[in-house]
Amino acid sequence: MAGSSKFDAIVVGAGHNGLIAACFLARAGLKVLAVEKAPHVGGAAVSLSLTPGWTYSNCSYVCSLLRPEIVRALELPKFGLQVIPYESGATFNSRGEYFAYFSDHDALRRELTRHSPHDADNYEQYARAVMRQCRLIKPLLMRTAPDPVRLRPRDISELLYILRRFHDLGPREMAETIRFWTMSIAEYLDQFFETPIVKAHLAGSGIIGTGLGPYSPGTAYVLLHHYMGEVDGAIGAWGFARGGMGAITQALAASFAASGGEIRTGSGLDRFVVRNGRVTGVVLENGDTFEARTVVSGMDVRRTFIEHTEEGDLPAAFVKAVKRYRFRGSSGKLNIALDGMPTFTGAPKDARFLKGDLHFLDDMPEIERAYDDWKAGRWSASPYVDFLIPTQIDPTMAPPGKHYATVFVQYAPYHLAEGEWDDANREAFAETVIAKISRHSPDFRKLIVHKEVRSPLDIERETGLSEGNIFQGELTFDQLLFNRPVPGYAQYRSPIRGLYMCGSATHPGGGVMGAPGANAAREILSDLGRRIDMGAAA
Amino acid sequence: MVKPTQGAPRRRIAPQVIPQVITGLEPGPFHARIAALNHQHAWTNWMGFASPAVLDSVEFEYFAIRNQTTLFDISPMCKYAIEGPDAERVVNRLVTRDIGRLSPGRVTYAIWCDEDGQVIDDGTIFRLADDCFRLCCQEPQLAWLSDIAWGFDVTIRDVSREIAALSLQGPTSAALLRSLGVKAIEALKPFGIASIRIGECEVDVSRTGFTGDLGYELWMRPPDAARVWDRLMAAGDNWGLRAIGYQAVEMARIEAGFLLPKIDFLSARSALRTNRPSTPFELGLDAMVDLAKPHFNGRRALLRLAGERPARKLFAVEIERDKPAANALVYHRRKREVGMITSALWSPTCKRNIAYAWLDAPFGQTGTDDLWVEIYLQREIRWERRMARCRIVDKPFFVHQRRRQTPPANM
Amino acid sequence: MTGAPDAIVIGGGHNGLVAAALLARRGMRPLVLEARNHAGGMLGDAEFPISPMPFALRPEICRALAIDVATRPMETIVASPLNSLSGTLRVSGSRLDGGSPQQAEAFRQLVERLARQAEALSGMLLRAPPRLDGAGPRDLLALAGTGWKLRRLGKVDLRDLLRIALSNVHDLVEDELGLGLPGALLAMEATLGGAMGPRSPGTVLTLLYRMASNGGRRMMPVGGPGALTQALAAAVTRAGGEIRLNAPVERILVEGDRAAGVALSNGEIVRASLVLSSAAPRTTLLDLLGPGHLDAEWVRRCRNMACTGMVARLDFDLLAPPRLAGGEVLEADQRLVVAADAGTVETAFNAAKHGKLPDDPVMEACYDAGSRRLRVSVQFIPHSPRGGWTEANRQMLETSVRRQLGFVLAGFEDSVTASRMMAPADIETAYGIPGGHWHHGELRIDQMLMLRPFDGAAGYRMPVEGLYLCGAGSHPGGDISGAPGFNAANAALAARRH
Repeated sequence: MAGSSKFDAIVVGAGHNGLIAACFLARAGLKVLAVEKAPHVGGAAVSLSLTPGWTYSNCSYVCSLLRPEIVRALELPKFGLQVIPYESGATFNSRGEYFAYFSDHDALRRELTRHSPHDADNYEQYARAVMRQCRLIKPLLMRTAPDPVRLRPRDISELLYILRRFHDLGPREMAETIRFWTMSIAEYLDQFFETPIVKAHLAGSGIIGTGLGPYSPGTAYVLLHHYMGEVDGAIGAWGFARGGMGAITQALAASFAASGGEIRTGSGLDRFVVRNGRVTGVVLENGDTFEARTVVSGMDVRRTFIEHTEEGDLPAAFVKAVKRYRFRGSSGKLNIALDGMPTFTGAPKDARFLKGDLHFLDDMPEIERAYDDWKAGRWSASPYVDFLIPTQIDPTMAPPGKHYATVFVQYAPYHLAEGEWDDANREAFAETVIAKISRHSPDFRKLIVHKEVRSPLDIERETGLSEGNIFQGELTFDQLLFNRPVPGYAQYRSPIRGLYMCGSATHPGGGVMGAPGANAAREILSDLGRRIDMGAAA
Repeated sequence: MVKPTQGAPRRRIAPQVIPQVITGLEPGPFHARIAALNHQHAWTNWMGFASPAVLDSVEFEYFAIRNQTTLFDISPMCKYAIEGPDAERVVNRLVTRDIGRLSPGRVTYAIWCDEDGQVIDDGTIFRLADDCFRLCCQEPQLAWLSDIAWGFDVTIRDVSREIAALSLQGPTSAALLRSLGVKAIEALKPFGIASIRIGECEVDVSRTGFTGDLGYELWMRPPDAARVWDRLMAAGDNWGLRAIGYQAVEMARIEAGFLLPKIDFLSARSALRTNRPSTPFELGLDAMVDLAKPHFNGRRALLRLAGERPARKLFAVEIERDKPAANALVYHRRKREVGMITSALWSPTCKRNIAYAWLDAPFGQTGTDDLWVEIYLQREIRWERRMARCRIVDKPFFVHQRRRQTPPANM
Repeated sequence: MTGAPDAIVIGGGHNGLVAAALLARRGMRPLVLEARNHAGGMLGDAEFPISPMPFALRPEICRALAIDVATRPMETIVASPLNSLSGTLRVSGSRLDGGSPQQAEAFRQLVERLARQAEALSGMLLRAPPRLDGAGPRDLLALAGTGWKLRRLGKVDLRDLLRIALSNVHDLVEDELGLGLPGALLAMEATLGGAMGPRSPGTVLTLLYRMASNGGRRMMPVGGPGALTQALAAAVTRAGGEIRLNAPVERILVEGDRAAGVALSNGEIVRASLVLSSAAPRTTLLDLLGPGHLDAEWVRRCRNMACTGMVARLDFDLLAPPRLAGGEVLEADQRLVVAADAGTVETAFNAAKHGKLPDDPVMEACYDAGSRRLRVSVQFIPHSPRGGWTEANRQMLETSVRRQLGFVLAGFEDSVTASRMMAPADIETAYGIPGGHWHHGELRIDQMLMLRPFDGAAGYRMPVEGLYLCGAGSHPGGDISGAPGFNAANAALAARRH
């Protein structure tokens, strides 16, 4: 194969969306090449071993949003993917109290009642309200967003489809929907709950990965974005991929190979080759040149169009819009190898709620203050952490008796107001996080065998996500639906004929969902006069 | 906007021991006694409590309801105290019927609706004193009651765990209480409340129940639960007393014409799909709605709905032959799908095949002919489909004069 | 007025007066009941106007009520407290002086584009909001009209509008103007009176809302805010309506689920089958009407309305007219905005949202030569600061405002002879507005159009027959447009015809 340089389609960036697009194109009979800068596939969904015996989910760390349609159509279970739901979670506050989340409905109700009988009752109302929104949005994920300005027939029919779904909600629910999509998560939760720790526990989903605070309007939608996933039909449930998040992209790569696709890792893109407004191929950094009339970029829009495309090949207004597109990385990550299972001061001996997401928080204003630090160009003095020890459920990721902790940290700025992300600052950042965890887990620090610290800058360098934004760009309204990534180019096509976008920078956005890759493949195949094969169940 | 909180101090967190809540089913106040009798080891989940599905035989437990006396733990019911100067106004604001006509010492069945006139839940309301009510129902209502009571001078308390309760039902139940020296039952009319003693324990007794038969509900403090149980069981031998499980109660419930939320209708507060809740008129509970009283929750919507024909309605139906039709679809002229069955039962007492059916308008309301249900029968692992004629009948299916007779008869 | 009133208007603020004037001109005999000893409501009294720089009434309303209030547009001076000499801009409409030519051009383009977009949306202001339940042909026609106006913006402006409508003003000015003073002005315009910082999504919408009136320009009535009040009051009485001052309403009377009149706090009963209330929705519904007449869900939605205000008003008596750092006098038709850039506006908000007083408050001010007072509206002052409005907190606020003004006004500190202050909590108490919010409720997408004041209560008509909301809490919202009063009176008149 090494000699061949002509392909039907080339996918640039073998992250999960790139691989998903590549898989669907290959299954449609195209000769497809996927190129990847890193020495391994996976993008931000990888499992790497940095210390002997341990495997880290280096970037993304939990799985829920990956569309089941895609898993089924690409036969990922056959290629080794196993997703295990996790059953609990907890938030510990600085008074030594905790709120435990249980997937067992009765246990959750008892736990909520322990904090407030009102909250226990209202949780049902809250869960129902969120579930209604999930039901509304789910069918939109695997569809291309209509263009409300151009209004071609398919835009009109898609718009009517959305309007009809909206209208079918009835007046009361329509109003609720408008409110839900525009409110802040803090005010939304304030409507239902009175206990600070309960609200703090639930609010996290509204801010993970975004440059917004819990009191910023629009964060209730971000919560929805984290809830609209499912594990085996349990909507809103999150799970671990057995063997780490790399298991997803490894399964995709295997599925791709089984369909005859070819992957080249280790050399990134130098540039797209464009002639007369049409893409004709790619040139890699190592000088390799490949031809194809269809090129799909899994990279974000800044990398695709500012760094790897000649500005002269693009309309000025488009370039301006891409430059305006907001990344604003706001998250850091620690991966930690532990010599044993840490204990938590607040947790009783027999605690069964440590097998999921753990947080150390008093209330929502604490998250807001963490956000204020980020706005000022500092990492949060008291950050929000999403702390999980997946090895309690997946023993494959650490030696027996040892554990792996993934610590997602919100907020950390890409640009520090003072200084740079050098080793000293990275270490200071890690110390801030470890100190916070250690307040709640006295033995945590001494159990640390190895740690990997990732600032937004590191995330950008290692995965290519601009400014380290985990969603390939902010999930705010000016960058959602028909505005994602750029108004007028929200249907996976770019101004250059034959050049498509399939990354999380396109509708419906990030979160290891895979929908952008699948949607892009559908549009590409439709331009080629073919249909996407979503399998028997689609 | 953001309310102030303490800054994050760097000090160590003081260890506290907060035990983890119970996961799985929780034992109720009578659990040890029921567990000893639960030969089937069959438990169901009732509001998170372990409730017996059947203790040894559904059939004999059912007949005990209609022939002797039965004991069933109803402690998992949700119970709320509504007390204060505005208590009557608040209860009247909650329910659709006029609670001003309920005297202290009396109980009534009531329903309550949301702002769209859709039923939230039903339950019994005990007027313990002028300004003191207790609400018993199936689903948690604390948040809703607090919303209803906002702005009124009243306190709402969840007393579910402060009160243990037993349902003592069956034709010999009065005789049993009589044998324990309970004088108050002689004058206690249906839906009346009295304070009595069983042994040394103070118990409130109400002449209420879900069986449509002569029967009582006993309300007590949880520490007294086992003693009251033991006294009743000790006295019960002469009267055929039998502890029973949920399945037998469910049979009697259907015969008696009571509706069950989540089975026969869905609460407007729990439905995910906006078209799933029902109005009182759709449930055939028109008599429960007093549109002449001043504003209550949902009144304006109900006024409008009262002038419209319900789009669908719940009916009591009787089905030919003897195979229960639970979850069956209903057809008009064997072809057109016009509704579905919720609860269904071969009534061993009435010897009728009975059920509740949701029928789309106009079926049941004007067109009552030629209705069929589709029943799937399993005969030795082979499934067969049977179309059976059904017709609309009046509720309740089972009614006996002993239920209302005061003073109650011994048998 | 002769005979008993056939309509009662609660509150003699500008919306109440507009509603009463319209009813009177359509042949009714409205009685306006005002709790305070002066009409004008949030415009305030002559001594201490709460809104010293009103936006003008909609011209359509002036025409319908035959009101002729002369106004003059105000020029805005934006001064940075960080760099008072070089950091001063003069802004009039889309024209910006004092910056670089590039700044002026970028500012002109942005403001003109926003004005076009706002104009396309402005048709919705003088109509009842579209309904979510069973929109009638009139609703659909109105929607189609707005749709048509939006299409006429052209693809570029329309795409831009659809992108920015729900976004935040900080990003908008950063993209279009860069950092600095021009952005500070727009950040202030977008957030003044509300409780959202410039980085809060939705603040572009509030900016567009402001741009829809006179292209966003403040119009000072000749004779001051009081002149507007007088003209409106005259319009009411001229058309046969009556205004009663010192007549606080205690309760709205209901008979058979219909409004029957009001009871005053002195015990007097005034009967009428039509009652319009320009009091805040929460006041009207929960205090005057009472939750017993409303469904619990309604009450809950009403309680959940976001209506915490963040504006404090301060007046400074001055020995001499204030002078800018460059030496020019602040004229009567000039408005001074003190903020360095959008970031400092956000910083002030940061403090306020955590219940703290901002170290460097941002504000707008104008000088009333007659009374020799500098009237200052300070933005992002918490409604309930930690510890409450103690003397110490008041002193801290005054000191920080003086310091900021001292940076941009020459010799300011020495010129002050006296001062007065109304914190948000004082405005709440004095004017009976829950939260002390300028607009009776935050202007946010979840509280706008058919969700204003809250779901189910839009369209002015309340569930109790004959009761209407006609204040700023209703669509389209606050600022001195008169539109809620006008729309509510039209709704009441339309219902009577049926």
